[in-house]
Amino acid sequence: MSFEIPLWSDGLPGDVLPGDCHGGGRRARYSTLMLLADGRFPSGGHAYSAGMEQAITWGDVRDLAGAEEFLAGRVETLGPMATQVAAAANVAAHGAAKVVVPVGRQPGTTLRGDLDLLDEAVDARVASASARSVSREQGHRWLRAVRAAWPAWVPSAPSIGLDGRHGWVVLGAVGATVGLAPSDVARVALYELVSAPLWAAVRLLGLDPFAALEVLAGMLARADHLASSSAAGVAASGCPGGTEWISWLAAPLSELAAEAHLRREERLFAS
Amino acid sequence: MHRDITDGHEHSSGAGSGSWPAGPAEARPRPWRLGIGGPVGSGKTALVAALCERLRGVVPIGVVTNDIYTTEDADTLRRLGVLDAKLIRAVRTGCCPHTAIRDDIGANLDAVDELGQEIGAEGVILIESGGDNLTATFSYGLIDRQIFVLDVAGGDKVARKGGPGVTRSDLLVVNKVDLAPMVGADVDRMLADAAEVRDGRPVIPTTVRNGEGVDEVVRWMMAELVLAKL
Repeated sequence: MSFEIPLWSDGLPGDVLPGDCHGGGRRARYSTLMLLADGRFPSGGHAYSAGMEQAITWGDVRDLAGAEEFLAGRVETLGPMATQVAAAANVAAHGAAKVVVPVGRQPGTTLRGDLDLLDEAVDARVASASARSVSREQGHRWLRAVRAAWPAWVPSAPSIGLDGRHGWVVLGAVGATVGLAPSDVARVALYELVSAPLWAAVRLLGLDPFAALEVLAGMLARADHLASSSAAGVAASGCPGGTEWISWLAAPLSELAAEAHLRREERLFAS
Repeated sequence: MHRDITDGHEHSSGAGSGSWPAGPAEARPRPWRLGIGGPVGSGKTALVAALCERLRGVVPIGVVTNDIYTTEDADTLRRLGVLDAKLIRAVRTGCCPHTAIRDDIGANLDAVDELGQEIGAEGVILIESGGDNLTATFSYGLIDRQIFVLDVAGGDKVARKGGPGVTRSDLLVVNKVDLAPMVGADVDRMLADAAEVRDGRPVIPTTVRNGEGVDEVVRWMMAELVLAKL
């Protein structure tokens, strides 16, 4: 099966995707995308602040301007990794390309092997054990919701080893089963990366939701290129050198925040 | 005849011919789940503690709390000594207590799954909501039956106001009836108002603090539990 990124990256609604697992025919790709990114999609998103609650507790974020800086830092540091991992897991799950070639090992021959490597890549890049644990919890909640939405198409977790994986890996892989392209899941990852902490700030600081919406829309527009470039990068590079190509940019303060947050008694959010 | 309580919808067999294999259908027996909701301060935690006390040694029991400062309720139960710490799970709701019990129940499902492994499928899990308003009820994807707790000190017009907690809960508990004379509440009127909008569903007046009415709640609960397993 060939891997045709141009068809996926800027396709119109209803484009037939390579690797379409829905028995052929046109898929309502953008409808699926909207469903996945909807704040009401029951994957637990309402309970995660992605460090915003701790940043507010520390006094680092006091208003909308502070929240915007927090989001910008998140996009800058975690954005590349989140979008790349989701896109790579998606490609691996489509089975259209062996994107992961581990150093010192034979290239992965199974989807499970590819996802293992991506999972390990996230482990290696996220220093905080608490943040890693939350990420796996989010993966679990994604999986439950996606499997409920498309029971005939999303496999049981043990059959391909999706249980217990990081959220971005699960998102990418299950996105493939419901007909989404690498750039699609990268956009969902990016959206989650900024929307969860922003709406947490709205709740915790009583911010004007319309002003927050303006910030969110602007942030997503400015960061959109990340989703496209990560998807294109996964496809084009063939990823020589294993998972080293995945961004190593990190945000040490947010890792410390994750550790401090999980130890607090009076916290309202799961992260 | 004994019937296991299971979650069929969580274990879909995958009937399609997708490119990945579908998992085997499985329906694991699980504990019976009782949701306890109601406004802030109405006596939800006190009722949970009273039920744990009555049922200790009778049936394996676990508790999930969803309160805004979540460990406080769990600590209350531990302090009262009604439950081991390992049998209490606290769920963080992200300032959305109603969402966590109704629209997006994943965190609570994970908590009850964990507790189910501790207490076994024959047990009972009580899920206490965070204090919310009259519209906050549990999803039946999370619980088997639900109690809504009002208190007379909140005003005797509350039952008349209705809302899904009052009208549709499986059991309505009107708590703190001992305070009625002090707050000028008419308990009989509350009970009558509630009966009018509940279409025959039961209402029990209680003063949980001194044990009044708790036995009746236990009897209702045990009857529901037995019926679920018939």
